[in-house]
Amino acid sequence: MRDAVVVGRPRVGKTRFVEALSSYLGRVETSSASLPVEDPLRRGRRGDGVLSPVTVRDRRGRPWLRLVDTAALRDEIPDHAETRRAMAVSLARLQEAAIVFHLLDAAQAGRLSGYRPPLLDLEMRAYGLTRPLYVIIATKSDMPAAAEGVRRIRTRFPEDLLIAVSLPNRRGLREVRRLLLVHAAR
Amino acid sequence: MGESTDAGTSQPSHDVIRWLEAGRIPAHQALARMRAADEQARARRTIPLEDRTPAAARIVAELDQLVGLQAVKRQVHEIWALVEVQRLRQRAELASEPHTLHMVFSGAPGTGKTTVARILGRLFRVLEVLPKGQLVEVERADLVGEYIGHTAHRTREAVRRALGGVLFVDEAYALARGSDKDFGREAIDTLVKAMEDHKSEFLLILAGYPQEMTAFLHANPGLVSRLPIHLNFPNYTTLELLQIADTMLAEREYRMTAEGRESLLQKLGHSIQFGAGGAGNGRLVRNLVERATRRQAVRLMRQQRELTRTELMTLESSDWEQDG
Repeated sequence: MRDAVVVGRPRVGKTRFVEALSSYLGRVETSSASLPVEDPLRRGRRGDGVLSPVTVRDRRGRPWLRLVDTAALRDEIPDHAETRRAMAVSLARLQEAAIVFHLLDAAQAGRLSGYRPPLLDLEMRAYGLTRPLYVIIATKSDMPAAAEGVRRIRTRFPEDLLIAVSLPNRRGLREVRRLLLVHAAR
Repeated sequence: MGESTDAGTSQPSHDVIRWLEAGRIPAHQALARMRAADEQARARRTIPLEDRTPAAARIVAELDQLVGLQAVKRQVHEIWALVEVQRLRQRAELASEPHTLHMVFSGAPGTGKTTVARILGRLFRVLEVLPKGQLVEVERADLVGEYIGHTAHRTREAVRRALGGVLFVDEAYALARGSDKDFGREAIDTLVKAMEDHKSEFLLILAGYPQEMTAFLHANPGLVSRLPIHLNFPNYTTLELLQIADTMLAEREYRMTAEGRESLLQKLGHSIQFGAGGAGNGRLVRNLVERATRRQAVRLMRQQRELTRTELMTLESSDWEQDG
């Protein structure tokens, strides 16, 4: 069973992507062995702050994929020790993953006058490319200016696998599923 | 890539993650250092030599036991090493390109070409270069037909039988003999096409006398570029032929007296010097050994008495002498 880890900066839509993809893939269960991560910045929003991997099973009930949400990676060094610990766990998960979904906010990329990916995203991509499968997920692609954002991201990283997703209308999830079926089954 | 490099000196990744947690470095720096650490770990990772296929070592040892053929053995060792290192490079996640291993064997009949081809087929099977490793031996008469379309069909059929193994075309230069209307040309074209259509699915060996093969390849430049490995099988020297005779006799549980050995050596030297048919090749030795054992049998039957085990095993000088 392979790990597909979802990484990105804050507020790019990681958790919503994991939830939507889990629901789309079906036959999923949240692992009882939750990751020991407490992100106080998430606590207010989610209530528990614990990121649990999701195990995806095939028709016969055999697990074939573990979908791992991670705490956001931040540009600055956080003051709060728990946030730094959550980021450390994210990097450890990234290191173990066979499949990396790197989420970039397409709407934000489209709104900015000149799109220049932050250093942190460049390093996430550079590290992600060392994994067997690295995919850029352009999120929020249904929002205003997102089309331009997707175009800019594609222009910036022309050789990377890129899938534009829109969670409200589930656009892009079928392509993600197809990729997973090909790569996670190996 | 080259977008950003903040790798600095590399530490093990778990140290880097601990530094991030301790607030000593920001995430982007941690990622860069992790990447550098991974890269260094990959570079340091050793692939154990025990991973070299033991079965391959046994097959190459068989080749090494053959008499003479030093240059051929050296080249086969190189090919073996190349295939093994390509496998290790794959495991180390380095670029590894499939090599074209089609070959030309130049040498007179009886110089070991078929034996080496058979060994290569088995070697490439255990190295997983070829799935089956069988040897399909053909010559002009097997490939060239008598009417239009017949040749392509026969050649394709030979290739089909050789898929997964070795197609050994003996006296391949004979394919280019004859006029422009000869169907040999069609066989060559079909072989070239098969090399394109079935890349890595079979190994083609074109064999024949050195001079004829040189002229044949010169006249078919399309073939030369597709047959990158050339092995030369020289005629055996007198001493090598004597060594072959020793091996053959030992396998058959015969031995020579010192005088018998001297007689054989003289006979071999004479054959090479005067270019007797098959001089300098292994078949000459086989013929001489078979004739000597027949002559020994006749000599022993004339004794009209009980024979000792030693007598039954021994070939004397007279057994090697020419018939009346």
